[in-house]
Amino acid sequence: MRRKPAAVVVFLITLSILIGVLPTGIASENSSILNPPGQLPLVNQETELTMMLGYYPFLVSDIDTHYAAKEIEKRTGIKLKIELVDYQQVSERVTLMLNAGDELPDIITAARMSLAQINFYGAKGVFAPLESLIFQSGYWIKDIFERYPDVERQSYAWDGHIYVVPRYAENAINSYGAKLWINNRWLSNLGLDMPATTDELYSVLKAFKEQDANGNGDPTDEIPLTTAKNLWYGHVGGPLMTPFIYDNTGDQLIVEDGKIVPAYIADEWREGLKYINNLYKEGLLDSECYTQDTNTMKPLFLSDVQTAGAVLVGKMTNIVPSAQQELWQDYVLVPPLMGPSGEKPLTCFVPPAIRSDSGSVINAKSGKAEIAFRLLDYFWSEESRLITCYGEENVDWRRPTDPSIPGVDGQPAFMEILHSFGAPELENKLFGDNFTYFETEKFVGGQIAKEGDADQFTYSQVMEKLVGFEPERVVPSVLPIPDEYVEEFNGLSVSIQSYVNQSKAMFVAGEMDISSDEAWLAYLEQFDNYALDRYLEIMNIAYGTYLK
Amino acid sequence: MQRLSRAFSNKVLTKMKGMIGVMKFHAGPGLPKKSKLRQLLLDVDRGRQLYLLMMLPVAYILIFKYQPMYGALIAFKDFDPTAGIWGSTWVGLKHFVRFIEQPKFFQMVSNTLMLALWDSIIGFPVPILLALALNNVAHKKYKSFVQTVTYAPHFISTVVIVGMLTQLLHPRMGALNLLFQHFGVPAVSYLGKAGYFRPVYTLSGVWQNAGWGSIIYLAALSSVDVELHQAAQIDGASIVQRTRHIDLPAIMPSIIILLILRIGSLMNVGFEKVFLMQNQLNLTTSEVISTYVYKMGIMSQFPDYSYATAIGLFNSVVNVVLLVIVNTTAKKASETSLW
Repeated sequence: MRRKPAAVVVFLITLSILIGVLPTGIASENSSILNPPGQLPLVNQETELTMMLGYYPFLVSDIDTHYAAKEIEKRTGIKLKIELVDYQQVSERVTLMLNAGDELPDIITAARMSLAQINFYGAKGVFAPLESLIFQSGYWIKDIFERYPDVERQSYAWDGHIYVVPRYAENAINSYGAKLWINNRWLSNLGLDMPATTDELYSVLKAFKEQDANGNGDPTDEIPLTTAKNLWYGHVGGPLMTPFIYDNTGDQLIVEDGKIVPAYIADEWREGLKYINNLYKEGLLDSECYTQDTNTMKPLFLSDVQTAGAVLVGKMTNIVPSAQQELWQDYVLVPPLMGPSGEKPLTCFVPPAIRSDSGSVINAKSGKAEIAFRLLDYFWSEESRLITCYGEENVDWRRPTDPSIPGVDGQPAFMEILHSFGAPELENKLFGDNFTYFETEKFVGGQIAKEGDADQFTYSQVMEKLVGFEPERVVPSVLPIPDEYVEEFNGLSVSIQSYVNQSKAMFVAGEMDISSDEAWLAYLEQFDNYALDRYLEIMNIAYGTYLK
Repeated sequence: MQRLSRAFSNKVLTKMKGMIGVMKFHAGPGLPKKSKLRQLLLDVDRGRQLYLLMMLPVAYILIFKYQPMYGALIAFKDFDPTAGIWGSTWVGLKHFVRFIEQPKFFQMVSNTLMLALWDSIIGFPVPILLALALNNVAHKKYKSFVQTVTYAPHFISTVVIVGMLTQLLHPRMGALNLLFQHFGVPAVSYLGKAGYFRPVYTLSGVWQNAGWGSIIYLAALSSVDVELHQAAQIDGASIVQRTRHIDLPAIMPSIIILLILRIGSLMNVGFEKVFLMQNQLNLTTSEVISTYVYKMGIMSQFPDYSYATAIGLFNSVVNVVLLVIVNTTAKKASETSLW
């Protein structure tokens, strides 16, 4: 008899847990509170959404007074309950919550999860499929999909669903990432022309080494060509290898006759390695390019007398501070070099692609998926991007006063920056790149030129020297790898890429002899152990799906 | 507090006694067992305050060391966070086989072992020698000065240490190379040659940790009776002889215990330092198991938790086997051992 009350209590607790687990939103999901797509505010009565946001701690000091968060709430009419998680820990946090069976928030933004991960969880029913929402009630996303078919194509998971609203940025500085910079002052000091072929580059570097290029009276202190490990696009290859065979510095694959094939087993690759190895042997390529880090290399650029003639890096400001114009203004881009084959020179080009790292997903069990989707839709509007990355209109940036003022790209300007990113006035106002957005070229190219702006300088260099030299077809950065292969493919790609990069370095540094046929064959034979064929097979299956 | 705990344990004891009574009733002829249990309970009662003290650390070990071992199950499963640890599908030894079939498997395991051996053979005796030498320094201030200087590097973080190494060893700007060049030794890129990776790793480790490691031996040495030294001195023993026959035997048990502990974590070479020192040119000697796990499990597009766990488990099993072997050997050879 004494047991009975306990049993009742247990029953009640179980019941209440069950009720708690039931989708609470069934009743609250009500499309009548939504305004027509594309109309602000998004809702006509107060609604609250929970959101987990991966954020940069240096950008957000107090979320309750944060400009972008408040402004989005004001414009959309949706009250956001934001839980901030350090951007490096969101992905882990989500995994742990799923493992523990905890309820996820309605929206997760900037979770730093790869597309493969998101699609895996999506297929498991954790994240809501969005494609029908996009086409039924989307406005901004739908419009962009119509204008950018590639963006739509990349968004689909292997199972035909879309689980994430990614971020997408067109930015020539990043797309033409691998660059070779040369010291223009040294060229004019020695009366040399800008190199146009690999042989000319060789003689220019040789002149840098043998003569007193920096004019300090010491002909031995010049380092003709350098770079550092872990430097952005500091990969030894890229512009040096591409004259022989196209080298995208990442997976180093090329498209040939509609198939993805590796560049690193071709004879041209060997020729390229011989060329770079020769630069290394003769001391033209810095012997420390693989071992030094950026900090160790920096003194070459920071001292009173320049001691670096050329450098492989994405942006000069990855090495020197952007505020010190005198340190970066002498370095200009080398145009794509002509190789021995005499074919049209190419430049390394990574087409802009969707990135899931700061994309947004919707909890499939949230009862407010439709409202949440409308918010994500809004994230892709120009307005949202301006609010979250550039700040307040007429305070931090403004529309050009005169429509005829040109931007950096020569077209009519789009905006004028009043406070550059990182300025103290922007404190606790922005989310920066840790937010879902869609950004077109005009956000960079359409800025009104500002004297001494390093990014604008880089941008105009790219426009002048590199644009138009990209290859006809490149391997897409985002391929829908079928779920059943994801694990295997991941293992293969990590080990193959590490083998390729390691061998490349060893050949260049002469640790393996590139002129010996035996060493080259031994290098090729190893690919059997790494199952290169299988890797390419999976890659081409995905590429086939992508093309369809 | 004391009264409280006593009251508490008395209560527990009476309850337990009651239980024993019940057991006695049921157990029938099993007399020796029952008395053993009673003996145990009496022991517990006698040392109840100690047992109470012990509860916290035991709980700590159970919760933070044993309970997480449940997670090691995913080494035998295809872990799916949505299904949880128990709900994921069993795949047997699949991940272990995958690891062993890796083209780099033997290279990685031998790199790990070689690095650990270098570290043990060179890194282990140095603190002992340092402690023995310091112990014989008569000048107190000088002794403590040397001690402070030698253990200060221990507090520098690994990232900074590796940064210092890249600066120091740079062929053009590095102080070390400039010094060597002064004596006619040509500049060498110590970080860019696979052959130099182990010496650089080990010797910089010695520099960083020898002083810190010697503290425990110095503590052991301080317990050596001064009279032993005086007697030996009267008998005409030299410093070397006294060190060899008085100091060394005194710290031998500490040496053996520390050696066993070290072997027990032989495979866990410092991930951070190896990873930071890695570059494309020294990978043939610097790719160790832990850096590979990091690249596969954490850094890749699709975190492979099961695979990373399987490799970690493999590592731990090797460690346990080594620990048992060394402990048994030490027990036979010197009567000092962990258990």
